[in-house]
Amino acid sequence: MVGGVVGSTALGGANSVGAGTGGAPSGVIPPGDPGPTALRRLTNDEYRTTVQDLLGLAAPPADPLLPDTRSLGYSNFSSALTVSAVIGSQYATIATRLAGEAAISTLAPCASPAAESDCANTFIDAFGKQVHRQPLSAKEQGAYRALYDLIRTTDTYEAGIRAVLEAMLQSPALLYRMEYGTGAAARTLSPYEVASELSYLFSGSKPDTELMQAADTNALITPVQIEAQARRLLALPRAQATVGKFLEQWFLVSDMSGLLKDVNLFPAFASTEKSAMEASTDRFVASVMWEGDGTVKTLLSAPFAFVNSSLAPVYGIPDPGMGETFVKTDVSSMGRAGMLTLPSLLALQAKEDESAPVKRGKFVRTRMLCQTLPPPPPNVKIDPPAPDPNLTTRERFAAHSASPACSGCHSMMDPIGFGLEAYDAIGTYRTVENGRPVDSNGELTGTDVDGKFTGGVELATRLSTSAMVRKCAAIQAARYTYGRQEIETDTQLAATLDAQLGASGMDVREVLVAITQSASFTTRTFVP
Amino acid sequence: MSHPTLTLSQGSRAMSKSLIKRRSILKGLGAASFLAVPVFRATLAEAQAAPLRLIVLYFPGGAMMTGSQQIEGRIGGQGMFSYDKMLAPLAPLSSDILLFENIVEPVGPDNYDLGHGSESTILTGNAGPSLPEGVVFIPPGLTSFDQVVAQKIGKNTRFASLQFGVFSNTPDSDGPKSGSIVYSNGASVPNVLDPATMFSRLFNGAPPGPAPSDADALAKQQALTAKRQSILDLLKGQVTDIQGLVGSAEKLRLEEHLASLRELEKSIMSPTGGASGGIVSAPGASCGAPSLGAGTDVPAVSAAMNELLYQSINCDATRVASLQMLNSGAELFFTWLGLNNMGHHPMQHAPGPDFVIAQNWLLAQLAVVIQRLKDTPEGSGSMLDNSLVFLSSEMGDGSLHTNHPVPVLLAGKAGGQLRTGRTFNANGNNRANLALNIGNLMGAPLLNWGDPKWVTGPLDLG
Repeated sequence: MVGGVVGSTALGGANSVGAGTGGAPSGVIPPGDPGPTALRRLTNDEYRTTVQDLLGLAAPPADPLLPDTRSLGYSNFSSALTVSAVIGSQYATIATRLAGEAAISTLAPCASPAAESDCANTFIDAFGKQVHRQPLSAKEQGAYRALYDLIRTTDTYEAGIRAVLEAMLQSPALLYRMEYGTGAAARTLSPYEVASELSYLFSGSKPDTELMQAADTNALITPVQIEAQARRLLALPRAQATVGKFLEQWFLVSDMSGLLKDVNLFPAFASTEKSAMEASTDRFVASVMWEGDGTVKTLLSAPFAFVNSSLAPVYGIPDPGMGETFVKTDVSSMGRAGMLTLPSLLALQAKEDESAPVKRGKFVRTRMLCQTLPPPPPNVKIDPPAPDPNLTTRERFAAHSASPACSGCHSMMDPIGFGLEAYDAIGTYRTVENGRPVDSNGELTGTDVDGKFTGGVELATRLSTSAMVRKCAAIQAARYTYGRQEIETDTQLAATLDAQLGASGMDVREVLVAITQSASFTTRTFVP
Repeated sequence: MSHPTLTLSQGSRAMSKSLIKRRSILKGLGAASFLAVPVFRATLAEAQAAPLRLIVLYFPGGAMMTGSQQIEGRIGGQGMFSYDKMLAPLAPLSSDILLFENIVEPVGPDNYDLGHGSESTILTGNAGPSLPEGVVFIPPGLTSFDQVVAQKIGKNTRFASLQFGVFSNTPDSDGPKSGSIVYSNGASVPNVLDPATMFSRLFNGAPPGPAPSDADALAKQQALTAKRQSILDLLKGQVTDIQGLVGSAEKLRLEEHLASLRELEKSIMSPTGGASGGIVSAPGASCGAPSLGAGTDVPAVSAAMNELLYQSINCDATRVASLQMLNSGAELFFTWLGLNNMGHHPMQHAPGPDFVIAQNWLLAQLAVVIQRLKDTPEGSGSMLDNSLVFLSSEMGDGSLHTNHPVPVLLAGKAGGQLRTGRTFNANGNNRANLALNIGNLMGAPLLNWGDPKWVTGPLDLG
């Protein structure tokens, strides 16, 4: 897609002063604005976990759902999610199945036939509040009750409850999170909206009992109250999955399923290496976040990786001898440091048969530095250089740097990507390509850590000390929290957070908590 | 944003009167007649004009129309999009085809070619604002022309429209990942890529039997229908209430949700259908659930989707359908053709004989769709005569990512309105304007549609 901010400088984006990308598409949101009101359809993961929690299922329902549309790498951007005809019918199928299978005696117990009417009301109120994530209005209550009554005239109490359940499990109140508040243009979210916001951010599901009680008692108003809940949720096991999802979507390593490689060159990629890379990435992220200090600095510079028999050749180390079991291994002397040198990331940012210096350079610019790049000029021929068995990838790509039409932008990407030339199309470490030595000298420009470097370890270590990268981390966290492109307020907050947390390496967990403490978390601007 | 030059010259169809008549008969027969439509067509087809259908067929990567003809030694003009080259699979159908020359996609913001971005403009005539790469921003209310047509002619079929896809993948990237070219009310309408999902959508539920004879079973059936209708009424009420609270862009997006509930409503007419309903294949005619191959590889999925698309039209489950072979930028390897060394997108950037083979294969799949319609007799002609097929690609030249010209052809006679078997030189007019012709031909004029910078009036197709 063509896009990009083409301004007076080639590099724009959130990290450039005054070059904000405008945030909301209308581009009318003034500085200091908390961001627009939003109707956020649950992601498929959120929907499945929510339904699991509502019904107390052993596992989330595995029924098919059309995949979420990604925006800026994230699956939860509200602008990209809607209830189309296909997913609408899938929700209906799931609701019908689960309502038919539910244990009504547990969900809506009723001691005697005489009490049925009251039991139905109790179920509608209590379960409905869980589904809607706030108490039902009289109108909503009445509609569910009318449905129950209709069924009960010809069928049993249980059938009536099942019908209500079938409706609730596909209710728009379940499917959408509303961040609207009430009032005129400047709005404050209701305690229930804040409860959902916190819960989906840290737990990926509906608010638990404690959060709902806090909302009931107006105890989700002050930053202190919100912080206490945020820290409580962050300590629950669920947070590991949601924070991990954020980090993996930020680094674009959340989904390797569609990744294909040249079967002749990489015969083991599809069968064993790919799945091992995915699992190894999960382990690495979890290790830094929950066994380590959780900082951006460590994410980018950690000397260890999780290696098993399948991945040992990729890392160029002896088989740890534990089969498919991962062994935490120091790989710093084998050209590795943190996320940026993970085989998964390098394989994703590569072509099917070779490395991709341009792609990798662009990745560092857009994902790690939050810079935007202008699109290629009109009618530029974007044929990659032809394969030449006697040249390295770098030598073939040198044309970019030579052609004046290309070098303007490619000087932003290629010198960074060239520094990652010691990793091939699946991220295997190499020193020789096509019989010629690999040159992994690179250069960072337009950053706060400018200068020449050699190889991925030096690049990653350099980036791990960059304030621009730390601020970018906070911007990425805002994207994930709000499910939208960042606005000026988020960029300002990122700078504040770097001032507070940067010296200790920018703890990602603290960034997320800090976002809940900002005014943006509980307020919105109504966009009519 | 209205088009002052909009004319109905091609839209005033000889058939429209009989179609209206047909609808009123349907209405008179009551709701249950939805299920009997194929039978209805079989018995009354001679007396009544057949319905018009719109079918959108899409393949990505273009046809090397500007810069890469060195392979064939041709430069400029129509390039490879000709019957003796890339279009060879469609050559046997050329008498049913109106082939376009020199038709362009309007340029994007800042006069850049849209490249992959034209995947979102090909059917919408609107590029939206210039945004950083990867941001999905769909202009509020954006609706592709097939959906405008579906809103108009889709009311009386089980599905207003169906979106078929064969393969979509863009390895984890910051780009948009929907990969669909269809939009409605400012929302992307995703393709169904899984034949089993599409199959159950179309043919879910038991085969139609006689209506229950005993009073007990009949009452149960009626109660089930009443329950489902009540649930849908409740849900529609809830969505409408939310519409009252949200901003205008979200209001429009919720129209999609309401449309989804209306579609479910049609399904409850089927007493034996599952929760998602399904068309009930009527006895007789050739309409019925196809048996699908077991394969999950791309050729098998393509064959299955082809079959399902054909049956959905043949069974009159829908009159508007799209089939997208791949998403723009797909990294698919065409291993079944022996092309093991490069995915589809890289081949585009390094165009050679392999790329021609790949594009040929994609077009051959699409040719099958058209051929099946042609092979199905209807009235005094074929089903294709009563259809309008729009076949195109997002780009003209995949290597340069240019959109001028782009490959476009129409097939079918749209109920006798379109003169085929010829080539039409559009002289640089754009694809968005051709959409106006399509709207008119389908009896669904596109009003206030597309970017007014681009959309100025229909082509004079003669």
